[in-house]
Amino acid sequence: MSFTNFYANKPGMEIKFVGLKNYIKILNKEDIWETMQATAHFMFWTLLLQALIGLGLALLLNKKFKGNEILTTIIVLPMMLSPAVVAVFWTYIYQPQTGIFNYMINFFYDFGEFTMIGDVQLAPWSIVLVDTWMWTPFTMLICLAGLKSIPNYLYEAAEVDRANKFQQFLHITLPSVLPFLLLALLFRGIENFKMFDLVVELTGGGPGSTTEVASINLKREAFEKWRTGYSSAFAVIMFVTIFGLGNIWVKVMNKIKDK
Amino acid sequence: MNPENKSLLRRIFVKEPWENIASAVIIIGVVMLLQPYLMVLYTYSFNFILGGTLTFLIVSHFPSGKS
Repeated sequence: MSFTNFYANKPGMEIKFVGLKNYIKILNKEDIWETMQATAHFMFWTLLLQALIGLGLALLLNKKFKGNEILTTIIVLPMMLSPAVVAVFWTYIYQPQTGIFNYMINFFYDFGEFTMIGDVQLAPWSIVLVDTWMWTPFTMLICLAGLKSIPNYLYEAAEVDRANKFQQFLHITLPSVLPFLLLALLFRGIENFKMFDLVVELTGGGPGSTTEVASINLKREAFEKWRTGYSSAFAVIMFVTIFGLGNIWVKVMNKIKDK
Repeated sequence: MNPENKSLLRRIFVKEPWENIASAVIIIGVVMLLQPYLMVLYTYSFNFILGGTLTFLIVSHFPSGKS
């Protein structure tokens, strides 16, 4: 289909073979290049924050303290919600006049009235923040599973060898938990590359096209402009990219596991 | 095919180095696709990604050099 000029809303139209024309158009269009940059910004920051905060929380919850179980349950709650629901209530949280987000920020420093979703500079960060809030527990849970699987005798042996806490973390904890962290990031990376529901509900790709990630553009081409052949080519580009990256991640993960 | 040629082919078509090359090509392609600096890099990014991915699929069936 990606090699044709097919329009799904024109059933009687003659379908012509156009070769690589759709692909060439997509790869020469500046609008789509910009959506790729928005996707890259979203992916980079969400993966970085989720890896750091998720690992930090997992290390914290791996310690035994009172209320550990209840805290874990509270932390994983956002992950269980539907992205559409999360986006709707975060739009209320981000409300400039009545939202709690502005109130909390102004409590620490008086920025005055500002809008997260409506501002060109802040809107990309607003979706990063919501995705991080929602999906950090996922990274945390997988890292926690990795931490629980480390046998205690390794730390005991390290203590006998007079390794300090940082050395223990660097040489025992981190290598053991890394395959798990990479697995979590693989899932999140693939998911975020094609992120749609959360962004479309929260900002709708706006203001302007600052938060228009690739999948929103793809949906517009496919179901608003009805350029089915063209959008199929776009979908193929996205699929091949995810597939290629997925192969590398799996390879890296196996390498780490072998070590 | 004589055994010498066979061993030469086995040495050339080893999975690990070819997989590394394919992975590097994919990563270069993805960086080209997502970078905000040069349109021309974006234009040719998919060639790299597709080439790298297809190469990866083929070379992952090569025999491993470890065994």
